[in-house]
Amino acid sequence: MYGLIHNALRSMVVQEHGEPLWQLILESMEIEADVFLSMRQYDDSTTLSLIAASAQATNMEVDAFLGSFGYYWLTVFAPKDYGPLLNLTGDDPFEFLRNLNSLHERISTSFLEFRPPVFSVKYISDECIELQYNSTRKGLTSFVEGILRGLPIMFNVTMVVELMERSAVQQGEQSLFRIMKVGAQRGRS
Amino acid sequence: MTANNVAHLLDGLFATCFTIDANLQVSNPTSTLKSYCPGIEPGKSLLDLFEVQRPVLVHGKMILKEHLNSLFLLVAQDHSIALRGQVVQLEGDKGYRFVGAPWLAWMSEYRPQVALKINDFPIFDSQLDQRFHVATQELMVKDLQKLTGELMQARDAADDANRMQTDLFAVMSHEMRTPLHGVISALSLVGNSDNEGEREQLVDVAQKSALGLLNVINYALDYSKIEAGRMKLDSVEFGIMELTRSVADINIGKAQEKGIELIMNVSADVPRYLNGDQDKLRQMLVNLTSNALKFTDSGRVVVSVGIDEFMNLELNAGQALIRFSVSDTGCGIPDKDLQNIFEPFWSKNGAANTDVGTGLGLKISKQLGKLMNADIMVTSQLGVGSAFSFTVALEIISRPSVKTLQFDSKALPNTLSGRVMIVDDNKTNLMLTEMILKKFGLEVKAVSSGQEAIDLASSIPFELILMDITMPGMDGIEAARQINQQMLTPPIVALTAHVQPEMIDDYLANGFKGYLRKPIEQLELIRELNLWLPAGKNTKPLSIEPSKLPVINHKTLERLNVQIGEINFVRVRRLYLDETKRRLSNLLAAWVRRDHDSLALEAHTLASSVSSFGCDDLAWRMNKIDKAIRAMDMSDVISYMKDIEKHAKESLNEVEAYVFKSSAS
Ligand code: HEM
Repeated sequence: MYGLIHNALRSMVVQEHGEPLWQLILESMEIEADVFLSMRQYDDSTTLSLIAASAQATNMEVDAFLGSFGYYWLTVFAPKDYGPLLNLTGDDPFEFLRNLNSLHERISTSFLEFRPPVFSVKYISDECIELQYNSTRKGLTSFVEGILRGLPIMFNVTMVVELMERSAVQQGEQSLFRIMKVGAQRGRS
Repeated sequence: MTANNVAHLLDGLFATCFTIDANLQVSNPTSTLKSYCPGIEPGKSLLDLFEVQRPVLVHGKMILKEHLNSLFLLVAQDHSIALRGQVVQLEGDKGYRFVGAPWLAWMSEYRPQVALKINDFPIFDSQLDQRFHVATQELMVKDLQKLTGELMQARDAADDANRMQTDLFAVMSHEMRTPLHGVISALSLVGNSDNEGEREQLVDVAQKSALGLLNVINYALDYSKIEAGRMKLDSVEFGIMELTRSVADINIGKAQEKGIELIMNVSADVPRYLNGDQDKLRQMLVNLTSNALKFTDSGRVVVSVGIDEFMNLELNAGQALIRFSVSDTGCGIPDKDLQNIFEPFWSKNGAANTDVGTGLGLKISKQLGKLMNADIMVTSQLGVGSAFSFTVALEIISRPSVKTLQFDSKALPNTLSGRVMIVDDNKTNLMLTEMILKKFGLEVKAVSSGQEAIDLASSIPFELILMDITMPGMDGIEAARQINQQMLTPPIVALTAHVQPEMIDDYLANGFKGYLRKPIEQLELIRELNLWLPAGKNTKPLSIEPSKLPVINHKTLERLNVQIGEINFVRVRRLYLDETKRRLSNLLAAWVRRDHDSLALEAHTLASSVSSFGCDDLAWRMNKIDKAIRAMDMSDVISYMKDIEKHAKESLNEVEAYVFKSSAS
């Protein structure tokens, strides 16, 4: 994946555990330089091993680690550099999710080798949707789950996120979330 | 297509549209536009509603039909929104329609609080993409800045290392020139002097200077080894008293010269035998002591060894914390310099140190300490003195083994007899070794290549060959192999700087009988020569008790034969011969490796196994070797090891040749 993702990971590990641990992670993977270029595409295996090594170094299961990474991505990292873009994506969580594809599509003109996820939204009621996540990659459902858990923070609402199904498909992964708004909604924070 | 239809189509593509008639009056805004800009009411003039930034109006006039290919940037007069787009002409005089999207750059700059939507921007409008691109490029710039920062750091570190090396080189050159000058001038004066006393003095000066030079070079080698991270920790058993004694031996000359007392103080509770890196400990102590002597003009230097009761270090079972300290009554070190003294080129006046012995010595000691997890501490008081100390965790050995044997060269004959060949491609080494060997009374033939050695060995008999390993063309190993194929071959001893166990095994496998480490040490040479050569005329030969026992004891063999039966005897004898030969080569290898523990063990085992097959003489010799090692008497060990292979062969041959003569037949 793009270096951007690695740098987000680095930022999280350093912020929560300090620079030495990150250096240790790189060492354990025998990666020499600690700089990833945001706009360069790195091999997916590098990304996945970085994630696995970070999980190990922080004593977490990979899925739990991915979850916290997704949360960090949405609530800390993306707003810093891509705040305006996030803001354009929607006024409320459902609209935001409906526009996720558009968001990633826009990115594609800059990131030529981009392989974005595809989301589809099905309204169950005004307060409840089902979100399907389709990816060409395996193993990132927990990352999505983490991001979804960050949404209530971003929009200052209460929401219940539930992972209904998760299945490997021929090339990648597919999973289904049910997301429900709870109580009076207050709008974007 | 009707104008209405066209307008409808356009509105499907663009979120913010409105119609402008020939009088620049605005009508028909899309609902999205109305939601951002409620002031946009039909009938209002374009110029009243918007400040037109593009196209640039000439004299404040706007003629739409001239701007069908222009970019329009409109900012609402009430600053509710800014638009980016173009105008298209509607069919049949229906006027023009502005089509576009929010002007993202302007909005983000001046109205960031307005929540625009991703769908306000047509897919083909690249404003969003650009925005993302710019944001990401900013990240890239940050990444690259970080990268260049790191590269610059790496470059600076490399520069520093380079500078250090250049400094080191300068200091070393200076340091080497002084003693080298001493050697050269002393030697050139020797030639001109007829006075015996004066000559001796000059030779003494030359020798001291040469030793000084060797010292500097050794420092430099150690230093570069440490810098390259190639120093490894060793672990050997050693006696604490021997360690301190050797530190004293090395420094006592200097102390006496300056009239300073040198005191070794090992407290009673320190275990006598320890396991650790003796060489590195010695080097640290020697460095610290010679440093102390250097900065002390009167009084004393005390080296103390004690148990460290204060240090909080985790110990493994069977370890003790030993504290070493070297204190002096020297000039002391000012507080502000205390951190600098371990820097390689520090000197008291801040200039490059002109005394490598000090500059590098402390740094090396510090690094050696680090390897052993020991930090060197310094306390100092100006005019009173300084104390350097460190604490190491060392394993306690209750019963010392016999790795190092006492060695009194006087117990060995000081002249030997026989003819020795020495092979070395280095002419200087060749000449020096030849001179040393001649002093022992030996007849020496010196050659400088493997081929010459082979030729010479086939034409004259030798008692011993000393063979350099690394030589151009044919190396020593190949030469030894070829010599060993000849009829009568003398023992060949390797001369080599490579004495790692696996190298030594390699020499043995290639038919060498021993090795001497280069540069050759006197005692080692004596040991090796005595092993292979008989004592010289007029010299007391090695005083060993001659064996009074028969080579084989027929009674023992007969008894064995009767006990187990002839068929079994033949089989068991085969096993015995094989096993004994194997053990014998283990014994010889242990001897060559200077591994006296294994040597004693093998000798002990052999003593009992060979006596059960009636080899009384061999058993007796093995017992003597075992005892001599336990008594730590090197000259005795040498005496009994001498010719042990010959004696063993003799015994085994007799066992092999033994035929049972039944009394019945
Ligand atoms: C400004 C916001 C965002 C930016 C700039 C962004 C950018 C990216 C980038 C660069 C990748 C790497 C893809 C590749 O290298 O091929 C990625 C992957 C991904 N993004 Fe986003 N993203 C954003 C928001 C989100 C949000 C809100 C979600 C919500 C779920 C999301 C879900 C994912 C997922 C799941 C992947 C992994 C790719 C996969 O599943 O195959 N992203 N994104």
